Amino acid sequence: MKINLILNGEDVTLAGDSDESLFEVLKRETPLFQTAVCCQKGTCGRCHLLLDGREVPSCLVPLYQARQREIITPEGFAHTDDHKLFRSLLDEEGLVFCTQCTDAQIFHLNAYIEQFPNPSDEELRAALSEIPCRCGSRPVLEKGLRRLIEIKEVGRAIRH
Amino acid sequence: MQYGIDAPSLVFSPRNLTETFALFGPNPHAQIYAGGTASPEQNLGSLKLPPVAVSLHLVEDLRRIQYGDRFVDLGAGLPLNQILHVAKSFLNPALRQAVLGIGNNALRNLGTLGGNLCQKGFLGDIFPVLHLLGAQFEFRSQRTSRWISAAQASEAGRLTAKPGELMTKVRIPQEEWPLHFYQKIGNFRTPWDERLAMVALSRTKNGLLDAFRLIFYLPHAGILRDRALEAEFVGQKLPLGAKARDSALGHIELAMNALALPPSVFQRDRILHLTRWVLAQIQED
Repeated sequence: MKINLILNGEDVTLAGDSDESLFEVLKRETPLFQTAVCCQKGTCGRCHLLLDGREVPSCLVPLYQARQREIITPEGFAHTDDHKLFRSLLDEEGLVFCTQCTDAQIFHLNAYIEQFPNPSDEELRAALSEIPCRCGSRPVLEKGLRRLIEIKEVGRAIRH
Repeated sequence: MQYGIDAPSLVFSPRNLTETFALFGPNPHAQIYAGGTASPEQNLGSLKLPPVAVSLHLVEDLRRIQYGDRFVDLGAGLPLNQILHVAKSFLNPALRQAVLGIGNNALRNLGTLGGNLCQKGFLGDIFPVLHLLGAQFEFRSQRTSRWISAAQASEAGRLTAKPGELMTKVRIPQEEWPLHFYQKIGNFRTPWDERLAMVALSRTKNGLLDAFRLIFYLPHAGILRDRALEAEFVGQKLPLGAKARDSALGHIELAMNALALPPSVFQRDRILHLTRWVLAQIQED
């Protein structure tokens, strides 16, 4: 089967079987996710992408469900102003880049606060623990994330 | 309607309920495919879609939230994260906690309410909260519609649709429960006999326990709820005395012994511990 979709802002056509996951097809048909090793259970965060603005694990999304929809991958997100802002805040807090989890964490946390702009402390900590991390960067991520939430709140207040 | 994605699985993607039910006629053995997150251990390597599947990802009718005077209706195809956007006065905090305890943000965007409740072989993490809240479940087919209560579902041990049927709605009555407790032990990686969920709701009035509900969910054994215990506690003066606490533990012991599949030593210990903890919390409030 062939499907049309918008991938990181560009119209593309992907080909694959109906029971193939979006992750497998993107890895085979595009330059994306080339180094990602995914748990295939939706828990590791390495295959997460935005499907119509909602974070989903692409390893559990059948190819046919992506038809006529908009997808933003972590690679696409890396070129956005939101990513640059979050990354600069994390750099200021002293984040040491981890090849295993940093990209997945930044993508996940940004998607989370776009969906839930005013999380409680408990919810924020839960969101931080949702992507497995062994590098110990969670305290830095939490500080950066709290600053990002404040900045976005101010931005929303100015717009209104 | 999109037909004919023919190899290796035949997947239908209806756009509304009428089309969905129409598809079951010529395809009585078609399986429902909702979020696709229910059995991740089976998905390792490939998605393993059933030979004929009806995918519900385009059916907007199943994603509606309707507010009534005394209840809220949640569409069974509602992604779990969308439940968190239900108005606060209609969303019991224990239900919110149960939803947040499932997977991660991405999985909750994919997984659906109906999918969580209708998993093969067990009832899902949200069910015990809905049981305590007195929820009802609507099952519809092309010509029929029926409601079943959470109590009926727990007796059956699962929520199962008949051939050609689909769970379409979950109706949750609105009732105030100022005190709420939710505790989940274990996740999908934990062995069955080490998993447990506890939900308790209570209301006090003029120093008396006005209402009290307590439920335990053991995925391998089902629901543990003792209505005699709940009835006995109504009207009890606060703080509860040692006699009332001992009586509660006695009730729970008997209920555990009455389960068809006995709880493990670990579960038994946690159930008694959590019962004591909940009663202590009610004392403090």
